[in-house]
Amino acid sequence: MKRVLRSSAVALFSLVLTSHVQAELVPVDDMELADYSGQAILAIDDYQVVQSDSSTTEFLRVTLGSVIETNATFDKVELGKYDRAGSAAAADIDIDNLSLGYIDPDTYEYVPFVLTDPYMEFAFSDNAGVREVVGMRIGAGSASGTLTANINSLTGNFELLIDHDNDGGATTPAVAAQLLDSTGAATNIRATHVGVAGDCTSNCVALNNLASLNINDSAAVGDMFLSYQNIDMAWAKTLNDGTIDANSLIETVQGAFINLPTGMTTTSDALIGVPGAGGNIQSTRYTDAALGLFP
Amino acid sequence: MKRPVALLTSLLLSSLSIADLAPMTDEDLSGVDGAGLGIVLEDYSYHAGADAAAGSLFKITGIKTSDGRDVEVNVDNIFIGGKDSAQFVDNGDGTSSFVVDPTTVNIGRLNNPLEISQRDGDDIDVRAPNKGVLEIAMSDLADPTADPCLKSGAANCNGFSSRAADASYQGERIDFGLELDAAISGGDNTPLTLYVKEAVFDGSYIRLWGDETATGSENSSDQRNLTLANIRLNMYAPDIFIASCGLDGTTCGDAVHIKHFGLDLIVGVGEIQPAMLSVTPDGNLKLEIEALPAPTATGLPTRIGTVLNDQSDSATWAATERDFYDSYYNDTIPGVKTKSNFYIGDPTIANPTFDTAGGLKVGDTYLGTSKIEGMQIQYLKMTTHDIGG
Amino acid sequence: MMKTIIKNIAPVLASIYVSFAATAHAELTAIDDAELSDAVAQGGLYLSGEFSLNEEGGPIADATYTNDCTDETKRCGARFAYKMGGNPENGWYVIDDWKGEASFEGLTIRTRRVDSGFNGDGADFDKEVLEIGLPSTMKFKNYQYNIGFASHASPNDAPGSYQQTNLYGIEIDGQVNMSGNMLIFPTADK
Repeated sequence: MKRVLRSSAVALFSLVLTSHVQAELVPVDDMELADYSGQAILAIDDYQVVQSDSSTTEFLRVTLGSVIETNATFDKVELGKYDRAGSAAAADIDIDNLSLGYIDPDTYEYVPFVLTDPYMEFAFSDNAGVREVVGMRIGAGSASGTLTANINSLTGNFELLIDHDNDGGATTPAVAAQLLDSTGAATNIRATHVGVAGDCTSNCVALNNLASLNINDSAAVGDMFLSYQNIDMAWAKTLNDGTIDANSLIETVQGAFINLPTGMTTTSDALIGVPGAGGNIQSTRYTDAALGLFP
Repeated sequence: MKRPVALLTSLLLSSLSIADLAPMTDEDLSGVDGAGLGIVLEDYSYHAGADAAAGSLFKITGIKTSDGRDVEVNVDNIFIGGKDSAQFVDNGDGTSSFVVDPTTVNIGRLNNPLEISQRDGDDIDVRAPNKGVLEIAMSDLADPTADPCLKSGAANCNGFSSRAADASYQGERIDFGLELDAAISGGDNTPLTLYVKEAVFDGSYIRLWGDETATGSENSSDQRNLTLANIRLNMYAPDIFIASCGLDGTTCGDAVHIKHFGLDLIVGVGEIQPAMLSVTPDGNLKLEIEALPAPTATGLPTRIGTVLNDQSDSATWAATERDFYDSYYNDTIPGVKTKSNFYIGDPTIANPTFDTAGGLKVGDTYLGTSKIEGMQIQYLKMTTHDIGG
Repeated sequence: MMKTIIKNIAPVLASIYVSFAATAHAELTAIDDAELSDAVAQGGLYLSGEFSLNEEGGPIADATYTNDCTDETKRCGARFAYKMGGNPENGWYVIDDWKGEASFEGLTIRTRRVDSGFNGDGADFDKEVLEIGLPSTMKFKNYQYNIGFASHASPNDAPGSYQQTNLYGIEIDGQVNMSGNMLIFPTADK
């Protein structure tokens, strides 16, 4: 039988074993409290929105004050996969090979996508005095950068202006693009094309053959967000200064929904994705042939 | 006979602790190399919260609105326990009551405990060569690069080490929940309830090690004295509820119900792509995941080459420079994962219904299954800043 | 014969953070023979403790620091700052404005041989463990702290240019209920 002295020394926050730690317990004196107190990273907002049917929806939002720069790729994003009357597509949102950010073809450096003040939000309706959850979303107060994707079906808002005669609006002003089905009819539920409604011969681009998009949510077009809601309802826009405008609304439909603010004015031709060097689909991996880094 | 005892002060902090000097048999000793500390919580439960009637309070402070007004957040209930620690009890009038009465649970298994240990950075599932790595981990997965149920369907979710509760045993899967209410100064309270049932965190860990050389700069004299990290958050839960109940928890309306929630989040890949958590010089938190460096005209970038030189198996998956990048992008580096996955509902079922495939239900409306597969973070920098006026 | 046992102070924050024993208060308390024999007979230790930190202010009172905690424009709690890694440019993690009282009763410590139970695992395991029995309640009185990030370890290090951002704070005045044991044992090399 052996007697063993059992001892354990496990560090506060598990730091001591591997890293240098400097710690102090100090009294605080001789400084201006007002200079640094009152700063907070987390914000909670609680506000109400009047919907188009005059009902009131209450929102609770939690925001993390932060700036996120990222280059990220996603093999598959498939949201809201369920049988939906009137559509053959399997899911509300079905995207292959989504990328945020890209690799500069000249310098081979990452050009990141930037999200500011990301938030999570819940929507409640009042049912005879009982609060019910009707929706939730994640979004960012502001978003900018390049987004590249093959979109098989999209339920959402695709905010973009199409200058369909490519003359800078001289003859006819640019029109807001609409999400369309394969026949060219306007629909924002499980859409497969984007363009000008009714004109799918020349002004209609398949969503799974898109150029890389510039996401830019200036105040006019609203937040980039992803939401789930069980009714058609409106969500509020976040202004560039971070405040919420309960009177500026973005309408969504029941299901999974994505709001993609591109803030772009472009032509249909320019929207069609052209892969390869000189094309309008950005590279997102060092092994992409267009970068020419590997034979 | 009494023996002097110095006290073990807490779960994570202890001064030198000498328990009763206990005799050990030779068999006990021979099985132990003492590389780590295993922890199992037996018959555990935890319950706290504000109780206005009893005059007790539990608040989260320091939160403001985005335009600078104070927000008071009360924690009405916070609990950890075993199966059925809380219930939504039907009131019969279309509402329900959220009743919390935690049961007990075991966390970790004797043969696969929670563990604080020193890992050898040369191991292929750590990949921080020549470093001693501190690891704080939940129970291990049988295979660290595979998941027993996320991609292969709900039927396989009993393949975890942590067992579900049954009639005769309380299991190792955790119920936890939070009821809080937020009130903007002078305004109404908005309550929010979160309840997660039978959660499993097997395979999750935090790994930390020190680094005295630059990890992103090609100039080896550029020392940054950083702490590097890899974090894996693996979470499976068969049910998650998000509801809004009245302040006393007795009038809960329709809720969000997620059935079959699965998350496998990878933050950092060994020292190939470490994460760094630091505080900026102006007092904000910064989380970075080192950018994957570009190939150079002369081959792999210096930092990657240094890591691979010390890995005995690199010839099998990084024989050429192209092989290295393909292995990273295809998530085929042995022992480690480079991609994250997230599932709501069983992704293998076509034409899903809530009963057959789980997924997301908001109130009575079924919004299907959802998944994000193969998320790969090639670069990340998150810096916090002051929000709130 | 009364025996005295030093009541060790063991701050245990129920689930989130740990308190730091260095500046706690300790008391010598007598317990009677009956209680003592119960504790010793089980071959282990039965502890109760109380920890208070600047509960009613600390020793310093000046323009910005108060010793009575009623003035909300001044600070009165303790502060703990730490940094990971040695980089002089980086800032500090901070536990700030930390004060209040925490007490518990019934923390037990003993060794135990586990060779049964745990739905079959116990028989396979068959080893000694250190068992820490968690107290069934912990009481908090005006207990609070803030978690934040700061440019320097203390505002005195850089008057005028010091910056701190708080993530959140906790205030507890009431009781936390727990049950169970923590079993600790060495594990082998992986």
